[in-house]
Amino acid sequence: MERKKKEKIMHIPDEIVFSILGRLPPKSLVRFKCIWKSWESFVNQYKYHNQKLIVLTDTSIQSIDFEADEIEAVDLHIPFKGTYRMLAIASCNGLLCISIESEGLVSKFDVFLPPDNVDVFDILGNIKGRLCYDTSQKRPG
Amino acid sequence: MSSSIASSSSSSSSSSKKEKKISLKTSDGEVFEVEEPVAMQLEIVRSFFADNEDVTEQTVMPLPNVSTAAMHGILEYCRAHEEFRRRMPEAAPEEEVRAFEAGYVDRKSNEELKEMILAANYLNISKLLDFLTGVAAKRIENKSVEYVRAFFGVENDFTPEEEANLRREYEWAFEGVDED
Repeated sequence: MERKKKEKIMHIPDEIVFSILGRLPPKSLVRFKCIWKSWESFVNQYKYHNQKLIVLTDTSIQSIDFEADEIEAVDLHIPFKGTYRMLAIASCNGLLCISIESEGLVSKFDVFLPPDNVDVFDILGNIKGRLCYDTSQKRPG
Repeated sequence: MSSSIASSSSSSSSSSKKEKKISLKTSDGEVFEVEEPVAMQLEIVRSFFADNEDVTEQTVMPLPNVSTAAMHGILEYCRAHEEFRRRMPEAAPEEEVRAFEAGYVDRKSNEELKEMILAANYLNISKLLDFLTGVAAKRIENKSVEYVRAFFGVENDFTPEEEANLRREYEWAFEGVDED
């Protein structure tokens, strides 16, 4: 109600918006799918096994199974979770690629494979250095 | 009223031991004289001075994307952290840092918060940006879709049917939301 001021709307660059979204708990993230189309696809990119959604928060990686009787977020058990900040880069058919950040630098990428129906991820491979993630896509705002 | 650490009273009668200052000019033309260790927390400033050999202490660095208001907020944060670092170089006093940070953002409106986020991004202060995006997430976490659209200034680009479908599909996510 108070927002009558004819303020120029500050445009927050997508990369920042997505870093904010990436900190939201699953329920908020799912609700905010219907804010804007590109947010919907942001949320959807973490879908795996079609009916599951991977959601990252600051402290955990969770999955939501939409086919479960009671929809809830399940903590995924990922080795060395909580030690570093993690970012999901991509997921595809149950593979989850995560970058691990320490001291603000992306230091390595790990690829995880979840066995069917078990929410425990094993490290499949580990790629060091500048392979697979193109930082130039983070355009300056 | 604002008797915080950020007060930029820097009339240059420093007879005491001279602390090196860096001059930063905001978009509305105000020049801030900032203590070097504080200014160096701004990565954009640090690399400007590291990469340009012809800059001197007299150089005034223009920051066209930062308003005076945002700069006050930025410096308040950076000065507080420099103070923590000076007092406890090994490890920051966690409790105190948290107490400071909580009080620091409580006073800021959503608009001010967004302006600070943009400034922290431009100035490349990753610690502050990280902190502020976390604050923004907390503020919108339990809010309605409409509130968050207004927060980010985005237009709804779904057709009414598409939106209704999403709301129906994820009905559980719309329960227990705060009032705007």
